[in-house]
Amino acid sequence: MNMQKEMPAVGAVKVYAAISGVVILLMMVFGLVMRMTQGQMLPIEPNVFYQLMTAHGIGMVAIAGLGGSAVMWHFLGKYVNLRAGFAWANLAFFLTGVVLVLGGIFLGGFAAAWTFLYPLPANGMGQWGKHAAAAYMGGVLLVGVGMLLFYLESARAIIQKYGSFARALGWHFLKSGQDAPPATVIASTVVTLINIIAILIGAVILTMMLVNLYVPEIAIHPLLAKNLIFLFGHVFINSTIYMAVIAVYEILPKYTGRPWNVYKPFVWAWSATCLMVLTVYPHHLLMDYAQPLWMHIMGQIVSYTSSLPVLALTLTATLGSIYRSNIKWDLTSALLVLSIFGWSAGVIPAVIDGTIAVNQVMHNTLWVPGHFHLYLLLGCVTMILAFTNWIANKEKAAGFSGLEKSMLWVFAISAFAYALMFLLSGQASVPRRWAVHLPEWLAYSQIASLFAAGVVISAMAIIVRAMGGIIRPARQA
Amino acid sequence: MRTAAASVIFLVLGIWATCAITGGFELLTTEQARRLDISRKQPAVPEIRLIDQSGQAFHFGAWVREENKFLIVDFIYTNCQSLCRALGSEFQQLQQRIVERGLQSRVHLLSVSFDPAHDNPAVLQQYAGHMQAMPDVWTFATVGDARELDALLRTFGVTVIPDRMGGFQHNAALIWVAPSGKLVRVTDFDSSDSLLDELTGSN
Amino acid sequence: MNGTRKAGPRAGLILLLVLAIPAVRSMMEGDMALHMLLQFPLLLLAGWLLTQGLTEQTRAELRKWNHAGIAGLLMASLVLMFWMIPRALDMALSDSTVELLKFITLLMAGATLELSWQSAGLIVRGFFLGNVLPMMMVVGWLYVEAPVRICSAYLTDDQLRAGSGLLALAIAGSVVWLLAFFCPPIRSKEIHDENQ
Ligand code: HEM
Ligand SMILES: [Cu+2]
Repeated sequence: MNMQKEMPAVGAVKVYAAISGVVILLMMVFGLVMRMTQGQMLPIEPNVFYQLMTAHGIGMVAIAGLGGSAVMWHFLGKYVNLRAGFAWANLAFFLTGVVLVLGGIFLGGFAAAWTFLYPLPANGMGQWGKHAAAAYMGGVLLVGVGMLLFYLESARAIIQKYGSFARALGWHFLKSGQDAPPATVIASTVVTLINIIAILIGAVILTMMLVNLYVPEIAIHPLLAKNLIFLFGHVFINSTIYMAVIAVYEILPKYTGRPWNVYKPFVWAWSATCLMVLTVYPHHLLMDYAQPLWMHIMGQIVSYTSSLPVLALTLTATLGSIYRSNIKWDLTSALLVLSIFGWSAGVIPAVIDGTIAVNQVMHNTLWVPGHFHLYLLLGCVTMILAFTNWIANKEKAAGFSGLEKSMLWVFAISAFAYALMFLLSGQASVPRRWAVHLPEWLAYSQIASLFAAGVVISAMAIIVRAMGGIIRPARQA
Repeated sequence: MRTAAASVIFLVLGIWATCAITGGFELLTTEQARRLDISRKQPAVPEIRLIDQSGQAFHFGAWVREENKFLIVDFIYTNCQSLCRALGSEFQQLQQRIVERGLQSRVHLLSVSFDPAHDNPAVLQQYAGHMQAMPDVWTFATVGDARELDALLRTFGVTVIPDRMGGFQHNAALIWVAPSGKLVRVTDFDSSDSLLDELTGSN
Repeated sequence: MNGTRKAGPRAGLILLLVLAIPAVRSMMEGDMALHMLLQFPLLLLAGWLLTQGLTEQTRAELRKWNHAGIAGLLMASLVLMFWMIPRALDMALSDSTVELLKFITLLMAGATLELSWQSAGLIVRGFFLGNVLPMMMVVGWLYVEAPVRICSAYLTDDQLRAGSGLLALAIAGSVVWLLAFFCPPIRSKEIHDENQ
């Protein structure tokens, strides 16, 4: 039994990683197609553009969730007793949900953007029927059910081993300075808690909108609906990075030879992030329907800065552990270090976005996709790629070939430049979510497409190579 | 294994019951069920004795067939401060529309009070005046025998419950009766205009 | 031990009889909030208490059909969901067969809760709560938001009160449930059992 814990990634995690790799690649291609359409380099109809945008948005968010879960499951399983059945059950719900979502989008024509903001889904204007919207929302609901099972299992296992969430978060350690839980357990506990809540809230709003779809007399308050959807969406997407960052905590020490020790500030930071998510979001939601401006802005700032404590601590600890260590560089370790810088860089535009004046101007421009592409692409996805590569190399450091080096650089530079183009477009007031761009914006979209192609090609090289490593030993066994 | 069997049985039972009560997942409320039921079954107007605002008594069903018009019916009580006002102004607009288009010979409006204890013909007459109702377009009536009220309300799918302040709460809908004396449709009170076109415009 | 064995079912029976008195029934059912937030829970409680009279033998037999409380909690959540459908609530008032069914199913739901809660671990309970709590929030929200009366048999004020009550109950339930993660009662044996 105990041997298994030291064994390389077991079946479910491999399947998760493989699916994540393939889907990330596919969704990146969708993204490239969208950007090229905006640059008028492809003759795609607007309705297809919006279908692609909906698929890209929900697909990326869901797969970041799945990839993050793979990281969390894999490493958390080294400390607590997780039962593989739940990982498979989650996957089954996930895939069924995905089939429904894709059916709703590409067969039913649903294209209300992944945030399915009320009352858009019910107003297809002939583009989609209510069954398409129902398939989409039902699919998202199923994905949520699977994830709920997954997190309940991790909650159970954590409580079984550590007694309670309070201990798993390290609160006793703050007092006594003894028995700190591992970083992985702290992070997993935070994610488990906030995602259970996010999923419950998501379930409420999705069911509500499904009811509204079939019983239109029962109207939903649009502002409340929007707040709920954003709460669910923001918490969920933020938590993908909290799961993925576990890869940094677990893998980086293998390269530097320095263990990732848990200090009090680290415990404080995770608890603070958790607390910020749990208190401020619902607060800003339960307030009166007619939201005053200051509350809106507060909510925005907090939603963007809630990850700051964790980020700051992770960044300093990473720098500390690399500094003057004889870190061995290979693709995995390079991607990990890149991801920490990507995540940090992504926070800068987020904070700018959160501040009042800018928020007014940039709110609906490409600035917004700019900031989240920066930290999701260079942070979250990069961590997932590092993890995929790590298990492909059987959890050992490997060589760093010239091809790998060049692919890493192409990826880093083009991803950064790609996100920068979004930010620059945002500054030039190019609106987000427009299929057809005005002539004066074309240059932005075309240059961005070039970088997007760079991302796609380098990511493809990395993923295909890792895929080989993941699949091959399974065949032999 | 047995647990799985038991779970499946419960699940099937649950889905079956839910399906049954929601009419195949199409409706959640009694009001919806009622409307669907009326437009499917098209029950006939009961032969109940009504009294109009001039104190004249008539048999409901027979009267509809005699008049040979489309009838739009709502249910009200004159003391109402809320819903019935909305229904009233809806009927006023309909009345105007009917006169404008000269549809008097094809469509008639009928407001039935479910508060016969208070709304006697004199009260109804006054209310009609207040509403500027034209007698040849818009009739007010109530039941002659209070015991027949239940049957009438049931056929038309109207629930009336006394509130705690001497008034009533009731569902507001316009019920369309064909010249044959059958109930054909139930609509909300802001969608009647297009239906007027549909029912009368075709011939 | 023996004392509670008898006291439980006796209290349950008395509670059930009181709830079945026509005057009590019409009092509770006349008000939507009382109907959903008092009569329903009391019926569940009556079912729960009555079940405590079962012999260990019957329990063992039933457990075979109810591994880890899965079937039981599934049935309880289905029953609860069903009676939150506005039309079902209306029919329970207008149709005495439906009302009888309501009594029976809610008693049974109380019984299956009693039979399942102990053996259900964190996950099965979590799944049950993850179903029922959002459903209560949805229904509560519907009642609060609906511009029209959803239940024909009730006044709009009633609807508002019942809706707010459901919402409050569901939110309180969620908070308690999640707080339990932070200070779970000592029940290491149980956790251990679940792993087998
Ligand atoms: C090669 C990589 C990528 C490309 C070329 C790309 C491209 C795009 C484009 C063109 C849009 C539409 C922008 C607009 O006009 O509003 C978009 C939106 C979006 N992207 Fe990406 N993207 C990439 C990677 C990612 C990643 C890694 C994630 C998340 C993990 C992501 C998540 C999203 C989301 C959530 C939206 C918003 C969709 C909406 O507005 O409904 N993308 N992306
Ligand atoms: Cu009224």
